[in-house]
Amino acid sequence: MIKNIDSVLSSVSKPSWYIGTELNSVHKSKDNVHTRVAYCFPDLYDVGMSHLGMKLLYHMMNERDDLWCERVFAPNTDMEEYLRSTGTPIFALESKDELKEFDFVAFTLVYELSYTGIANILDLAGIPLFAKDRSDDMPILLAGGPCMCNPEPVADFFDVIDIGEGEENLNELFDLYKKCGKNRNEFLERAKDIRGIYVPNHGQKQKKVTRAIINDLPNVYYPDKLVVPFAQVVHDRISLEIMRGCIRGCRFCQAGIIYRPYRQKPVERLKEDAIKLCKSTGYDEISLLSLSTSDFQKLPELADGLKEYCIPRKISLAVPSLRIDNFSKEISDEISSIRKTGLTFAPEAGTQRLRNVINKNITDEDIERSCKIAFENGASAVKLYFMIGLPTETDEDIIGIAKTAEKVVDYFYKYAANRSRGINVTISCATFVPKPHTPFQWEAQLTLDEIQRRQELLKSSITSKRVHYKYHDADTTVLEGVFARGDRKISGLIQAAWRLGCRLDAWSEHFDFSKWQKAAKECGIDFYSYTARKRPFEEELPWSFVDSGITTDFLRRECEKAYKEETTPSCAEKCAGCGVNKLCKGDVCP
Amino acid sequence: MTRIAFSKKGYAKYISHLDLNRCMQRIMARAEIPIWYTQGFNPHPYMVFSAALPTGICGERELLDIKLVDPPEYSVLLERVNEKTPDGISFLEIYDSDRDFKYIEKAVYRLEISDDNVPMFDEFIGRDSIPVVKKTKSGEINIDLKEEMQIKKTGEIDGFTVYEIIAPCGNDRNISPALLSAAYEDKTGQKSAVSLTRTAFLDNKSVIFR
Repeated sequence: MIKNIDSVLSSVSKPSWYIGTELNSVHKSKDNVHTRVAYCFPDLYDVGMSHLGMKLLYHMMNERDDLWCERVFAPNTDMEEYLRSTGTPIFALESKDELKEFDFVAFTLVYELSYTGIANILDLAGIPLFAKDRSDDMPILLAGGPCMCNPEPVADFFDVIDIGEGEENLNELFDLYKKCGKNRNEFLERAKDIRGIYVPNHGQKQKKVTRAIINDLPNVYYPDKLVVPFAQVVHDRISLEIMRGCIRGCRFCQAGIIYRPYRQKPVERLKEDAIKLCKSTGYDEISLLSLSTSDFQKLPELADGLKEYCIPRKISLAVPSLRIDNFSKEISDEISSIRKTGLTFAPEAGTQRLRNVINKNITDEDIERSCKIAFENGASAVKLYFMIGLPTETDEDIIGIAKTAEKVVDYFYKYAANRSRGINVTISCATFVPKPHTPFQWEAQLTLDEIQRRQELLKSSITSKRVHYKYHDADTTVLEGVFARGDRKISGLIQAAWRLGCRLDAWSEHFDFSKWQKAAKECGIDFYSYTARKRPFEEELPWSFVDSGITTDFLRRECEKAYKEETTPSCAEKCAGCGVNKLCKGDVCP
Repeated sequence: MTRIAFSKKGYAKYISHLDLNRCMQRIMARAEIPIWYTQGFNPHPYMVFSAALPTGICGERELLDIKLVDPPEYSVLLERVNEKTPDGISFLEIYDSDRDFKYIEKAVYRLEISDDNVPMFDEFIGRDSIPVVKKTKSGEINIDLKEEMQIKKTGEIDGFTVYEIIAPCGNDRNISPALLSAAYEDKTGQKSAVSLTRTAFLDNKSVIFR
């Protein structure tokens, strides 16, 4: 345990982020376990504690009697300053032990802009960032999470990278560690045989790593408790994952590919899990989590079942991630009967042509129909998600975004039950970043100047005062693009930028693009060679060795269809032959 | 009104007042305590704390009022709820009380400091005045802690010397002893040399308020 914990905690503005005694946090005796894992989220507590994946795996790992998994988050600036000025190492929240004492230091990587967090946490732990610089008595560095479908930008840092669904193979990994009697070399060599495990810096490079996939999602582990933070965090509620994967096949969407196949959980199991979680946490809100909640076939049945328990206990139900084309009166009723929320839809593109290109199969009629239902039921705020910079996009498509939003305003005055309240339409606009393992993985990303030009064009196309436009900084998007499709050279860039002071890059108040540019110069890296270059289909990509289960042929076919503005039906309608079923046992697809 | 006496110790002293409020709601929900909700547009469980305990100060007997619908036996309730509290928070007693928190005027605190610091601390509190700046919502005010607080040495335990502080803790005037420890730590450059615990509340006749 680190010294002077009281002076650490009384020196920072949010001490409850670091006390580690939250409801349902797991405390064991370190002498009674074989394996200790320091599980790190490379961003602040309030973001990390909102992430379901980390909570799920934390509790799953702690189900093992031979293992104690503890949490570590990136320190806030005041904490970092304190740790550095006093020479105090960063510590795991539960035991307050420093990270060097652990068998594993594991990271969950959910978004690319958290990568400097790895460098910062390891530095504060006194652990060298690069695997080649670490001695054998150091902890084994493990990484996982959706970003690891292209592990190369951070592969030089880690000893073991888990690609795919951790519920499937983590227990096997820790069993092996025990079997090897903590013999590091033997462990690393044999870990390569576990599906989904990539060992990037030990022996010969693996030619192929196949993503780990849960075959039986209805019966897979789901926690019956969640750590309940004292301080308010971004998602401060029960997250109930109702299904994994998505039937839709939007061509820009990485999650839609890397969480395949589409697997729903049975309503009975979900109800049981929800009630257990309500009882163990005391939360007053449940959020149904999935990539596209309205595609859940038994949503009304599930909502009815949950309401029966929730209403008398004043627990509300949030249903995010709804689609425009199957948003129904029933779903609207389910939401509004518990709590009235604003409505959020994602048309993604402003014209039918471009929506066909990206395979977002919704029409203007869908939008009108959904708005009609929502406005007739009293909604007075609508948020619309769009992207700019999608492949084949023209100025007409950009202007179409403004037109779509203004049409929503018109629908309000046409259908709303109470017009006097007025309507607020918010356009939230991200810039398209081509992601690995998607049909657009070969595409070029917009340059900074072009992003800004198109943002301005959109801004000037909006005439209604009812429409508000929000957009992301163009420069973070460029960096995200570099990391997403990066190769091993990027690890040097991450270290250089961290040395220049880059931290918590996902926060606009901390993000400093000029430092990243300086770091790129030092490392001889040209951002645009990663982002703005269109790759030929034949090119060997840094992530080609990762087998997501979805064939390159399928991705290429989808990309070519995109150019022809042809759509592909959802998995529920017709199998598009992506190949994932070959990696699964039995009949998993819908 | 149902009154709960509880303690907040150990790491739990770092839970802020706002967060404690939310934490208590969740404890009640976990223990399935039938708590009464306010009847407004946005109903919330009715809970009133005696006085906010500053973050970093332990509480030996803090008070919380709630309203219950069909209250079960208090002894059963106490047992049930204590199974559901996080580390550092314990419910000590549940009882009926109609005496409003507005009758609280002062609070008693225990200050502990390691013996080697005692000469310096005695010199500090022995001064004629201890001027500090108190930040309030309406700005900063200058106060003299010597006038506001009674401080006396009461004993020793395990290498620590114990002092008792009585300071205003009412709706009209509230002076936290953290001002004293912060002023001392500032003067001496020591960090967390002092630990503080609120032990009781007093009414206008200096009788313990319960």
